[in-house]
Amino acid sequence: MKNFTEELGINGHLTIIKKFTDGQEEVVFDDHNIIVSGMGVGLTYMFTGSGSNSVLDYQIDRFQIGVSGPPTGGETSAIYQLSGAATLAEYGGGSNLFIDVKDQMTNGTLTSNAAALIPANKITKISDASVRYTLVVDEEACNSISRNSTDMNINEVGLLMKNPTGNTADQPLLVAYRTFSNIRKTNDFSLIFRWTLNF
Amino acid sequence: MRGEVEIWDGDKLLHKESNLLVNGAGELLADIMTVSPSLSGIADHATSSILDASNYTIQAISFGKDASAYQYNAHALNSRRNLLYYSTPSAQGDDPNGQIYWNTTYTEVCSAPEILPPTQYENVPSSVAHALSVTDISTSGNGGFAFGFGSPLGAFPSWSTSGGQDNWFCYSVYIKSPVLDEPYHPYPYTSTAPRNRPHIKMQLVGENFDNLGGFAKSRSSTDPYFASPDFTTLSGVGIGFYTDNRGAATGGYSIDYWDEGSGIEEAGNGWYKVWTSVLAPVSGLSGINITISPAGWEASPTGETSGGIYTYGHQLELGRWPTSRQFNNQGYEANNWDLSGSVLNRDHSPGAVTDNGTVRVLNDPIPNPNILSYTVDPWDSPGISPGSYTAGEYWSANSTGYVASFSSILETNPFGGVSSVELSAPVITGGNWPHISLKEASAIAAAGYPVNQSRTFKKGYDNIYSTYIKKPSSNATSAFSLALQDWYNPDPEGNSVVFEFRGGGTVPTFKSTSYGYNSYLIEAVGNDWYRITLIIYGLGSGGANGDTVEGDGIVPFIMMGHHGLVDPTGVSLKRLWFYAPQLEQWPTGTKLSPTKYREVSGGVPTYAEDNLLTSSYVPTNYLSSPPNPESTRVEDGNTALFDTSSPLSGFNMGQNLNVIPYREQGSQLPNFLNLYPNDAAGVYSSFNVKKGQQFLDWRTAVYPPTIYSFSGMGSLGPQAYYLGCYPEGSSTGGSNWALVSSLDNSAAYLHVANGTDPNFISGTYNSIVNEASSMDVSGFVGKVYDAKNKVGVVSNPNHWQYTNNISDDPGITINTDLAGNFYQLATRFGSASSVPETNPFGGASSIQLSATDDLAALDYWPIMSTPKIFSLSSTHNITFSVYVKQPTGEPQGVTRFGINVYNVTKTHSTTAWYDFSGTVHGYPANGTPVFVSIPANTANFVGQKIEDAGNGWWRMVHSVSGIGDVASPNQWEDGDDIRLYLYLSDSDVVYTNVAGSALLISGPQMEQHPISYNLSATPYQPVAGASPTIAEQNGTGGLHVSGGVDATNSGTVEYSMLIGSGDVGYSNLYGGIYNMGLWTIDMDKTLKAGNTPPYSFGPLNNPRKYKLFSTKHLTKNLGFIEDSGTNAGSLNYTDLTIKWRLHFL
Repeated sequence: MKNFTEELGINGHLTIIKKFTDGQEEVVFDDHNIIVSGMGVGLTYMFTGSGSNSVLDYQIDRFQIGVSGPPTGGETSAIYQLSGAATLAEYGGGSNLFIDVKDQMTNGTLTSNAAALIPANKITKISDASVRYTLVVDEEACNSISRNSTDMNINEVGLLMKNPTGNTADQPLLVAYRTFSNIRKTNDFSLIFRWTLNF
Repeated sequence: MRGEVEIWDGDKLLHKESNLLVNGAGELLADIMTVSPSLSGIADHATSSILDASNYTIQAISFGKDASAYQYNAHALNSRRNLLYYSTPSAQGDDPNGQIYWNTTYTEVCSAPEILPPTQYENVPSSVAHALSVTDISTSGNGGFAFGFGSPLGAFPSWSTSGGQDNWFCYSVYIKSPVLDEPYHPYPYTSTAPRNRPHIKMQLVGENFDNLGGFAKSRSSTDPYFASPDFTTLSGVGIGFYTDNRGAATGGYSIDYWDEGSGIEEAGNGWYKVWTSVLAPVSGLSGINITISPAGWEASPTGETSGGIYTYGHQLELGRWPTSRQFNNQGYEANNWDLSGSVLNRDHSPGAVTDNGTVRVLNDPIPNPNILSYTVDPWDSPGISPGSYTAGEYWSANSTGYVASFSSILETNPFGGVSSVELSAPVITGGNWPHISLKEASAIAAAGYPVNQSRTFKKGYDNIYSTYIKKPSSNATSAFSLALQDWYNPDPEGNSVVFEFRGGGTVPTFKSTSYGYNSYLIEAVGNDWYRITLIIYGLGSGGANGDTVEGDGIVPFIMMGHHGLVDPTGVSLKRLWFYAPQLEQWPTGTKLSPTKYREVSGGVPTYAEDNLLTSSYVPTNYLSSPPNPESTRVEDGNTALFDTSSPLSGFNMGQNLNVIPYREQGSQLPNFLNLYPNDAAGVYSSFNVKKGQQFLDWRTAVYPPTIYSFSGMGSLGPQAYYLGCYPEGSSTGGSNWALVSSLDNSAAYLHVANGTDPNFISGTYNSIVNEASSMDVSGFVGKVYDAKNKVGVVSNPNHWQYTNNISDDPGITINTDLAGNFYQLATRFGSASSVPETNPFGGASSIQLSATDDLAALDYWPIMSTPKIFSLSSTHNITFSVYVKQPTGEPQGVTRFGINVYNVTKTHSTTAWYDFSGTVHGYPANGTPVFVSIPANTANFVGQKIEDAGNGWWRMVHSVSGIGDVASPNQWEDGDDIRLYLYLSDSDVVYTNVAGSALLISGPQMEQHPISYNLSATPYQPVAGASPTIAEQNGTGGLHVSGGVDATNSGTVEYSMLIGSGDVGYSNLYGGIYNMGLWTIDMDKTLKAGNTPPYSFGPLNNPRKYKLFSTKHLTKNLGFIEDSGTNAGSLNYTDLTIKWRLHFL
C-alpha cells in the first residue's frame, strides 16, 4: 500500500553542479532523490496538531552534507540520517554557510548533528506544487575532509525539516536524501545542489 | 496520499474505500514550505497568526451530491406542467364543467385549425392543438375570454387553497393578429385607441379576498402593441402591474416586495408568445383568473374597440416564465401535487398544525412484481373461517381427510414486524400432506374475486417463487417443500423442491427434487429466517417433457413433509413458520434471484402496493468537486443568471442551490422580446434591446435597482425556500409515508394513514452540522476544529447537567426550593438565577449566586453542591472548573470563595480558598482571585489554576489526581463518593458578612480523565439539559482530528465527523451525498481577500477561502435507506460517523 509521499507523488530531483572560480560549471549529478519517512513523520505532527504551532517549523530550512554514503541498507525511505554527516568543523570555518548543530530526530532518538541553514532566498516556489532549494557549498566549505587520516569524499546529502515537534530547541528531521558519486571537495570550486521537490 | 474513508453506523461499518488526493494537497505543502520566515519578526498579532500551523491543516469537510440530483427530489417540480384542463378551449363546452372555467364576454371563440401554428408546433396535429380565434365583437363593452379557477371567479379546482399559495404562476399563450375578416377596429376612434393592444391579464387572490382589503391580490398584464396599419407586427410592449394590496404587511407574501414577470418573444409564422406571471400570496390561493381581451381593454369610452386575434397553446403553470407547451385535451384536473411538485405547500390555516411541506416521490412508480394475493396474512383471504374452514377463495389449507390450519402468530417476521404465518397440521391419519396453496387464478376469477394477474406458465418467462421460512421452536416439521404446481392437463407437474432442517438444526438445506430442470436458492436473512426460492425457467417441464404448455395455471404450494420421504402421519401436529410469499415472472434471464418482497395485502395490489415510489439512480453527472465550504452555493464556478455553460444555469445568483426546484427552461435562457419598452407615450420607439443580460442591464439603467426590481425576472421564486424534500434513494414507508421538512422547520413527519389525509406524528430531526440548518450553505460544512483544544474524537467531557442555567434544574424553584436534582444550594442562599451579565463566552447571561440576607441563617458559608455522586478512581483525575466573576454593582460581590472536590465517603475536603484581591466587603468590585490556601494534607494531589478569561471573568480549575496520599483515617480509595462544592465566603471569615453578597459564575464543568492523559480542565462544553444533546456531545459538530506519530498511530491522522440522523435524512431530500471533500485554508486567497488571521469560522459569514485537499466520490448515496417492512425508512435514519484517515507513513 502506498504511503503519503507515494500516493501524493511527492518526489524530488537533484542536480549537482561544480562551479569553478572561473565561472565554468560542470553538472556532476542529475537524478531523482529519495523522500524518506521523516517527511511523513513531520507532516503527521502538523496535521494532527500535535507538533509545533508554527508553520515555519515544518519547513525544510537546512541540509546536511555527508561522506559515508551510500547507506548500508541502500537508499530507502527508511533512512533517517546521513551515514556520515559532516561535523561542524568539516563544514569549514571560512565558509559562508551558517552551520547549526542540533539534536536531530533519528528514529526515536536524538543525535547531535550539524546542518547548514538554507537562506530563505534560496527557497523558491517554481510552480503551484513545486519548491526548489538551491544549496550552495561554497569554495571554502567542506574541503579536504579526512577522518582518521583518511581522505573522505562528499557523497551524500539530505534535506531536513526544521523542528516539527515544536521543541524549544530545534530538533530537525531528515525528509529527503540522496547519494552520489564521490566528490573530493576543494577550494577550486563550489558545489551547487539544485534540489526540486514536487509535492 | 494513502487514505481511506469509512462510514460507520454505530459500530457497524457500512462503507470503506480509498480516497483521492487532488492537486490542492501538493499545493498546500508547497505553500507550507515557502511561507516567508521573515513574518516571524513582525510583532502584530495578525501577521504572526499567518504562521499558525493550524492555518495549513485540514479545516473543513464538505458533502456534495450528484449534479443530476438538482433535477430530482425536492428540486423537482411535477411533470404535469400545464394546469389548464384544456390547452385548446376551442369550445366552451369542451370544458368538463361547461362554462365554469372558461367564459366569454362580448367575445366569440372559434376553432381555426387552418391557421398554421407557431413554428415549433407546425407538426402538432390539429386534434392535439390548434389555433382559436378570439374576437371582441362589441364596441360598447370590453370583450374578454376568461378563465377562472376558484372562488369567487370560477369553480373550485381539484386543489386546495393552500396548494397554490406562495407559488409563482405564469400564464402564457401564443397570439397572432389579426383574425381574418375581424381586424382591429376602434369605434368610435378616440385618442386612446391608436393601436391594437390586446390585453393578457392574470389575477390571483388570496383566501377570502373580498376586494375591500383582506388578503393579497396579485395582478399583472402584458399588452403586446401591434403596429398599424395591418396590426400584424409588434412594435412595443406594455406591462401592467397592479399594486393591489400586495405588500407583506397586509397581504402576506413570502417576500416583502416582488415584481411581476412579463415578456414576449417571436414564435414564427406571425405568432408571438406572450406571458405574464405573478406571485401567489402565502395566505392561501383562492382564485386564479386569466383574461384575454383581444382588442384591448378600454375604460373610457368603454370597449370602443373590436377585432380579434388568434390564440394557441394556452398554458398556466408554476414558475416565472413559460416552458414549452404541454397540450392537455383530456380534461385532466390538476391537483395539489401538480401545483406543488414534490412538496405540498405549507398549510396556512390559522390554528392548524403548520405543515412545512409534504413530500412525495416523483420517480416513476415501480409496479409490484408479486403476482400472489393476500401475502401479508392468508387469513384475510375471503372464505376462510379461522379454526374451522380453511378453504378460502384464495388460499386454502384443505386437504383430503383432514384440515390443516394457518394463522397469523406473534412471531417476529424477517422484516422486524410482529407477526408471521404458521402452518400447522392436525393429527394426520392419512391423505395428503399438510400444506397451504393459492388457487389457480382462473378458479379465483370464476368465483367472482379479483385476480392479481393470470399466474400461468409463459414461454420466455421465468417463475421465481420465494418465501421466508423459519423453523418453529417446538413441534417443527423436519422438512418442507415449495412447489409451483402445474395443476391441470395436459399433464400435471408437481414442480416441488424439498428442503429439510438437517440434523435437527434450524438451517434449511436442500433435500431433493424430482424436477431437475428447476432451481432453488437459500438465503439467510437473520434471526433464523431464510428466504427460500424456487425458480422454474420458462415452461419448466414443458421444456423437459412437454407436460407444461403456455397458459397452464400455476398453483403455489408451501408444504410440510413430502411425498416419498416419510409417511404423512409423521407430520401430525407439526408446525412451520413462513412469511411473505412472492411469485414473480420475469423475462428469461433478466432475474436470477427474487427481488425485494412487495406485499399484496388483498386480492390485488392496492394502488400504493402497485406503485412503489422510490428512487435510486446512478450518479452520472458528478460535480467537479465537493461543495466549497466558503461558498454559499453548491457549485463552484460561474452559474450566472444567463450563463448556459453550467448544468445549473438559469438559477438566480445567490440562491441556495440546495433548496431551489429544478425547472425545465428549454434553452435555459429566459427570453425577452427584442423590442421594448412600454411605449406609453404612443411613440413607436425601439430600443432594440437584446435578450438576456443586455435586457437586464437595460432595465437596470432605466429602472434603477430597488429592493423589488428583479424579483419577477429570471429567478425561480421564493417558494423554493419552502419546498421541502424527498429522500432520494430512500423510501418512506411503503408509499404512505411522507417527510415534512423545510429550512425553517425540520422537526415533523407526516403519516398519510389512509392514503389521503395527512396526520401528524412527532419526530425528532437531529441536526448537528450547524446551527442555522442542515444545508443552508454549501451542503454540509463541518465546523473547524481547534487543533490545540480538541484533539481526538472528544465527546462532551462535562459530567454536570443544566450548566447553562441552574434554575433550569427541574428540581429547583427559585425563591422556594433551591435543592434541585443536579444543584443543591443550602438555605443560606437567597437565589441562584440567570442574570443579564455577559458570560465569558460572550453570551448574554450568567448565573448569579446570592447569599441570603437572613443573618440567622448564615451559620456557615452558603454552599452550592452537586447532589450527584461521582466515583473516585486511582487512575483518573477529577477536575472541577468554573468561571467566576465578582459583581461590580448590586448586589455586592463576595470577597472570598472556595472550591472543593469533596470526598463524601471519607468526609474529607480539598477546599481551595480564593480572595478577590484589592476588594473590600461592601464595595463594588471587579477583583482578581488570588489563591489563599488548601488543606495541607491535600497539597500533593490537588492542583489549582486560575485562568484570566477576560472581562473580569476567571476560570478556576481545581483538579484532584487519583486517590492522593492522605493519611489514615481519611485515606482516599477507589470508589469513594465524590461531590463538588462551591462556597460563597468572606475574607474576614465572618459568615454573616456574606449576607446579600453575590458571585457570578458560568460554565461549571466536572470532568474525569485518565491521569496518563495529563489533562485537567478541557474547554467548557455546555450541557443544557440532563444529558448532552448530540450537538453538545460532539462539541459544535464538525471535524475532529486524532492520531499522531507513535506506536499506536503510526503516522495516521484520522478526521472524524458525526452526521446527525436528521442531516442524513435532510441531505436525501435534496439528492443525497455522493461526494465528500477535505479542505484546508487557502491562505493566499484568504489574505488577498483582505481577511487576516486568526480566522473564525462562521457558516454564513466565513472569512476563509478554502483549498481542496482530498476528495471521495461515492457511487451509492451515503444516506441511502430503505423501508423495513412497514417501518418507514424516513424514520429510521441513524447518525453516521465519517472516519477519514490519512496515512503519512
